[in-house]
Amino acid sequence: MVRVSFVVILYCVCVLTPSTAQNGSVAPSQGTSRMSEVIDGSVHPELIPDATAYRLWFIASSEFPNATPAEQMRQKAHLGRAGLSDTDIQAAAGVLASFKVQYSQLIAHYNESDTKDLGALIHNREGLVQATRDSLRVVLTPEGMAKIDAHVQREKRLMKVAKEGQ
Amino acid sequence: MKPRRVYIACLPILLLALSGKSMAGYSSYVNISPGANNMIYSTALVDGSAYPMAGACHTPKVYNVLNGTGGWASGGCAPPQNYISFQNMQQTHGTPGVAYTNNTIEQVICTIAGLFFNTTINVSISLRVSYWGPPVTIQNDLCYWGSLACTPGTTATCTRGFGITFAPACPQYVKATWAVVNGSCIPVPYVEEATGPGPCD
Repeated sequence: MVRVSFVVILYCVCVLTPSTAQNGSVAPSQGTSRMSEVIDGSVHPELIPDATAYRLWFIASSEFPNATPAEQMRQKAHLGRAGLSDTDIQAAAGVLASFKVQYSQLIAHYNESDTKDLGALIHNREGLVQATRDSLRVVLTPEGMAKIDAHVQREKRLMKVAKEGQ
Repeated sequence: MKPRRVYIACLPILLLALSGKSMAGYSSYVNISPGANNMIYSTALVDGSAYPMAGACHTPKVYNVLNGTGGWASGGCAPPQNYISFQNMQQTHGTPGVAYTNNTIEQVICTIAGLFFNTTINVSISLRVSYWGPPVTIQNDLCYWGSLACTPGTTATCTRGFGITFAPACPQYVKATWAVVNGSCIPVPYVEEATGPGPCD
């Protein structure tokens, strides 16, 4: 019990120490996380889990079904950078719209719930990411899916992930 | 905060930590892409959640400045165990040959712990143009151009070959606009039909 108490106190001291850096005063060159170690994808892309990388890319590349023309142009740029053909971009946009809606609903329901079952949320989140990958594999050409797979691996260099957040 | 309250507030964190489950935590990412008409789009985001902490509130903040435009965007303050997914999107009109910087900071600020998650992802991007011409071949419905078609005195930076679908038929010449991200040409350019050779850079 003494050992557990020591761990509790040590952990809380680490987590609750007031920060000297506040809001917008942080210099752009800084890049640390108080709570946890961060995996820097520019240094160790191999340590960024695939599920995390796909999730982040889906979030950034998806638009709601009622996207404005400007939003559609942005999405086309993101998907085009992956190397998708126009046909594959159209097919992917539909799948990603479904992801966007479901992801938003997942988060909204969780945040509104009284119980906050984070384990269930993570389970459902990972399930949605995998289902989206599976759906893309169905609607895209094999070449298109291969390009997305390769692109997401490259994009890991622009990702940073808290070790707890994998 | 009194020690006993701190102790109680941290218990859920400790129990989750001791359970060995890696669940809470934040992630950040910057997606930067070239589009039609030399547009450059950047999306910087932070996504994730934290363990419960009594009385605390977490605010996502994302700084995204692309070619001097943009700035900070902030979400609402919510309990740490709430899930945050927050983006700051910017765009600019690029000029081929000009280098642009995309500076981003992704943060989650806790009312108790202060700066809770803080990452910086900086990207340099420039647009480069290359023209391609005959011979044109088709493989698996993809058009390929066999030679660079740069006007005399110009040199292409990105020279990697590519295949792309075109309807109704493959044109004889195309203009390929590449993004050079952090010094590397992205594998696939933005391609449009051209009437003939053109200036490469």
